[in-house]
Amino acid sequence: MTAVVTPEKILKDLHSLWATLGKDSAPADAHGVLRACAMTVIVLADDDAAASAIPQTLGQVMQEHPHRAIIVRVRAASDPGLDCHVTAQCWRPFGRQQQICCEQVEMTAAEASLPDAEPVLLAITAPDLPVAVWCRSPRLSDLAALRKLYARADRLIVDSRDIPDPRAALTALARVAAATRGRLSDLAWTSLTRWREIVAEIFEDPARRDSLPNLKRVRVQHSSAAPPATAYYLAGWIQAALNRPDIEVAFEAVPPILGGIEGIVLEFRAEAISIRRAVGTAILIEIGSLKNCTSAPRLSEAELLGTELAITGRDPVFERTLPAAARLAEAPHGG
Amino acid sequence: MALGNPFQDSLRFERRVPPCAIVIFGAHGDLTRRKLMPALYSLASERRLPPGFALIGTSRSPMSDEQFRDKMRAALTEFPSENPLDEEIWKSFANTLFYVPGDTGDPALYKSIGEKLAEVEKRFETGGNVLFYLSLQPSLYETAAQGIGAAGLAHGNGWRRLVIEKPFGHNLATAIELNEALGRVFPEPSIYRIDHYLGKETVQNIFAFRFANGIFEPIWNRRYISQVQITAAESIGVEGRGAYYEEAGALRDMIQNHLLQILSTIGMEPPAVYEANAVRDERAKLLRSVRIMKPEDVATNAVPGQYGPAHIGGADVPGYRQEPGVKTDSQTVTYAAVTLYVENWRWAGVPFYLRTGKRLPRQVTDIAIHFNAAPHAPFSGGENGTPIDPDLLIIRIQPEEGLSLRFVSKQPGQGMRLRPVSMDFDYGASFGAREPSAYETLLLDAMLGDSTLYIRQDAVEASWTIVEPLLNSWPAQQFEYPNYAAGSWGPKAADEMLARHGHAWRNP
Repeated sequence: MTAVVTPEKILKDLHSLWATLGKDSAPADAHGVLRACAMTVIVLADDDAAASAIPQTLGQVMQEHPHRAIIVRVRAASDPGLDCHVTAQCWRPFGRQQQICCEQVEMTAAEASLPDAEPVLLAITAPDLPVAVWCRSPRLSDLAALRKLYARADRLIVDSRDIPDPRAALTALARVAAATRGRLSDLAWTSLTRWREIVAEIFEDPARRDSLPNLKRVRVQHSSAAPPATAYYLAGWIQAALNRPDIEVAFEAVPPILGGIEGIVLEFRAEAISIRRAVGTAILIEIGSLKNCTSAPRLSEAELLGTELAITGRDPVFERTLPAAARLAEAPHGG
Repeated sequence: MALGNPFQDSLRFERRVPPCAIVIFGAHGDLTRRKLMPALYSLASERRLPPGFALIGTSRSPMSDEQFRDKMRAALTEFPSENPLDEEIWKSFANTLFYVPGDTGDPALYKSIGEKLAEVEKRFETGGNVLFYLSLQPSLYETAAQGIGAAGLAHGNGWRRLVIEKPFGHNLATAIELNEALGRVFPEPSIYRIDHYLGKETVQNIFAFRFANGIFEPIWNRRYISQVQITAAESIGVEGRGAYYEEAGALRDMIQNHLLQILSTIGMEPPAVYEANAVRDERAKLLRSVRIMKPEDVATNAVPGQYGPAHIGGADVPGYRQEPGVKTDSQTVTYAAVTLYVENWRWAGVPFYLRTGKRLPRQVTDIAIHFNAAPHAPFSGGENGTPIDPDLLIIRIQPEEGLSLRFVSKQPGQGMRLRPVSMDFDYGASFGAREPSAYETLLLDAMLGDSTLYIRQDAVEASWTIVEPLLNSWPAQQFEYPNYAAGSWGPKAADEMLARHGHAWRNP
């Protein structure tokens, strides 16, 4: 038997938490505790082993984007109960005496009880501040029981990097993107920023841009057996950026160096531009006889999430890319 | 003809630098090793340099390309960039480094540089874009610029820009002369005068703080602000640069450039747009509004100082006159404090106190905005009935960049007992991302052609005009130096200068 969860009780618990933190810190630390909150981040996660890492990820993100965290673990069980408790994540910046704390609400909800959970979630978001909803599983971004929550979100963040069926996921995301009117983000897309930057940098040279009409084929190299969502995004981005769905796309599984995307080759009529991982985080760029090396470390989940939380408006490039990526995933050569 | 880059993503990408070559004059010097090379390596390791990039170093020391690369690598070990040295990245970066030996006064040097530029333009596809960086003694600026011009290097397939370091002249007349000499080779928009203070994140943040928040602008004026204190304190002495410092002194080294640039950023009117000329127009306008001291006002509105020996932390610290390269009867100022007034509607009557000094208790640069006291306080006072301090806003430039607002709060408990509390914003703690160094920012801006954070000639001239009365007055007098001990906050006369206005220095 679980207790009834009401917004009033959660907010009262939060208030008590701050009183306790202030009281506990007062005797030893005259600098007290600083309450920091610039937004609400609601995390929807399947109740599995991976979900246990969420507080740690949020703890890292909080230092750059202080927020009220609400973690909802969704159980598949038929028991319609809700459970909730509040806690705080605190840290002391290096060299500083004052402790900074953010609130964290952890809720467990059976999928069947999500309709009951939604009004509670809406009521405990920090007022007057943006709300980000991070769906750790793409399926949680499209539940009928949470429609009002999705509508309230200023950003709806998913992560399709490691999903086993990127074709189905990208198709579903294209549908969600249309419904959320530009508020959707995918950490798989975020993880490509460095690759995309390198490509863009090459075409800063106007003379090189003149050769773009001659781009015939794009080869995306990845470490997994089947192309991941990131591979479709990368190829889809090039097609969408050039408005050229006719560019041939090939996906190649290669031995992993750092995992994920390992390289991209742009084939023109007369030459090829190769961008590939050389060793560790280093990326080797080859344009004819010109060689250059740059660094692209693989970003952690917290770094990717932090990047998305820094964006407040629409992401027009992603909006253009997602349909192109979904089309590629559905095409026969997409697997 | 290609239009814009179709792959650009301004939401997520850093600004892209066009392909280019940098030519550093004085590539064997201290500035190159300490600042330029670590900044360029950081840019390389963070992919901020374009694929079409090459660097040509030049100085008198004979060296091969390989030896130059070895020296630059050694510099990165001695003065590490914030990005740790990565073998792969270094290897790639080192391949873009070249060296041309020669004397700045020898036309043959410029011929060799021209040949090397033609070679790298072809090999690295730099598009003919060249940034000339004069990391030289200022007395060689004119010679180098003339050499560049005579060899036809100031024009080419792409853009050509010239970066020079302070000091821009030794006084107003020489600043004008220098500018005329540079102007014969490069047009004003192609001349980038570096004041690295303007490249600091916190100085740039003053723009955001003042002009992106609606709550500060209404109180940013004489009605609410009683005084502004700008402090740039150094705990070190002249560190082996005695000969240079004998020529420069605190006025030329700090006040004429860094502190007046900070003053102009704090006091300027809002620009219509955040663009180079709009921002620089407002800065220059502010500097031109500063009241120029009459000779008879210098004694009451400015205080020179020179540090004497002291015993600090168990060690003997030499006085300025005991430093190597310094005359035993030197009259060079190692400390300067000035009171300035900005004669416009916003600031009329508000004193701006600027001070800088060597061998002060700690290294700190900050700006303290003192607000007027509440017009009427119904309370008896602060703790033990002491007067309530007016509100204070501190903008910390270095170290621990950030902002603090001090205001008064009721102490918990019975009765109305008041005490000041501080609300802090710490730049480092609030934004986890690494802050680029000032030189990274400024080098990048110069390659991008963004001169917002560079100083225009009219601002240079206005700054010299402000300090000229002091430059004329102080050398004509014999001061009894030393007048402050190393490790103290400066001469007593500086405290008296503020006391005459009913103010006191805030010690950071």
